[in-house]
Amino acid sequence: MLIQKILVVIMALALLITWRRARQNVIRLPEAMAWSIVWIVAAVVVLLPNVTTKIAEIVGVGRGVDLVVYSAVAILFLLVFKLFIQHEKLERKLTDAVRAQAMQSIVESETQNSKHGTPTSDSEPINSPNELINFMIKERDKMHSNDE
Amino acid sequence: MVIAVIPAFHEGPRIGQTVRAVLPYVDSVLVVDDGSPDDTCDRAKRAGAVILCHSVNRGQGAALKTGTEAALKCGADIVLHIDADGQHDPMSIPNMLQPLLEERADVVFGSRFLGHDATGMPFNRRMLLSGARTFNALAVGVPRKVTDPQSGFRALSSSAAKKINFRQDRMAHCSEILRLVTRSGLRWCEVPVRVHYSADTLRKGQKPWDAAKIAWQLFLGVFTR
Repeated sequence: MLIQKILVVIMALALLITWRRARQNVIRLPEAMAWSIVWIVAAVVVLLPNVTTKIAEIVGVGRGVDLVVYSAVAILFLLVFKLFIQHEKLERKLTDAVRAQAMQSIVESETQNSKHGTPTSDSEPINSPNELINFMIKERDKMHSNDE
Repeated sequence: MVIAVIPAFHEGPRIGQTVRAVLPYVDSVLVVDDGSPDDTCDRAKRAGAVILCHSVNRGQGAALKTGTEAALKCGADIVLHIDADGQHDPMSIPNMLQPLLEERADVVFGSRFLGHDATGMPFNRRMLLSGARTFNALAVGVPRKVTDPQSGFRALSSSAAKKINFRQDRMAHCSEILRLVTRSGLRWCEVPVRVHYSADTLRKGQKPWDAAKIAWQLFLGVFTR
């Protein structure tokens, strides 16, 4: 059948590209092996569709096509869930970065303040909570006096 | 030193009033502007708060954590969490601080269900919170004696604030903090607080659909370490 030929050619190409990428060190060897197994299994299923029926009979799901669809749904579910988790982790990393940046601003305004002649008892801006408190209170008072 | 931490997103019309109302009860007010597109930052500054800015909106939980860390860095003995929209009555702050100052507790949660009736709390909100309490007890592992499952009004001693490492960026941090605190061996208690609901706070507040989102976020959080 034509569809079989087309699919097998596509899978052969995929296999070729996989190993070219592996040689270029874009993907690691275990990844290349895993993908190779996927493509080879897919090619076998395309060329010998009855194989899935045999396996389906052993597992007990009836038709071979059903087995393929069921396992595809399960695999997709797992992959999407993995993606969700990965996304959440990325979001948290972004939060950490945004937080670090926000904290930087309070440290910067503190150092700026000490440049303008505030008496400093400690040279390290970040490790001197007392200075920061003074700065915060001063800033507050300044705002208040500006209001009045 | 008591530092109030107010996470604010898009609270321009209300933040100034809130900051001015809270200031008399604490030593300093720290507003974390969570990437608001409006003038939240300016108004809070003018009202006398110290400002921290998130360059990108990261959610209430994230802003609260930033504020808490900054407050600890500034040497706070007590960190007070309070909402920006003015629904938490600042008059309740002394009651919240009392158990901490007397060293009877490490963490104090404000509860809307311990006496003071919340003004304007709609019936469906009450039902939703009751459902949330059951969910917290069954799925999150928060003791059932916690009466308010979703209170953003809380006070922590500095040691407790250092110990509680909450990672939920959005709305699920309330449940997460409750779980962390009640399982940590820290002494905690609930005190009655007064809450005023208005059309404004309800419009911006949580919707019933958010309950599902919170459950989903908590679920994802289990797998994100």
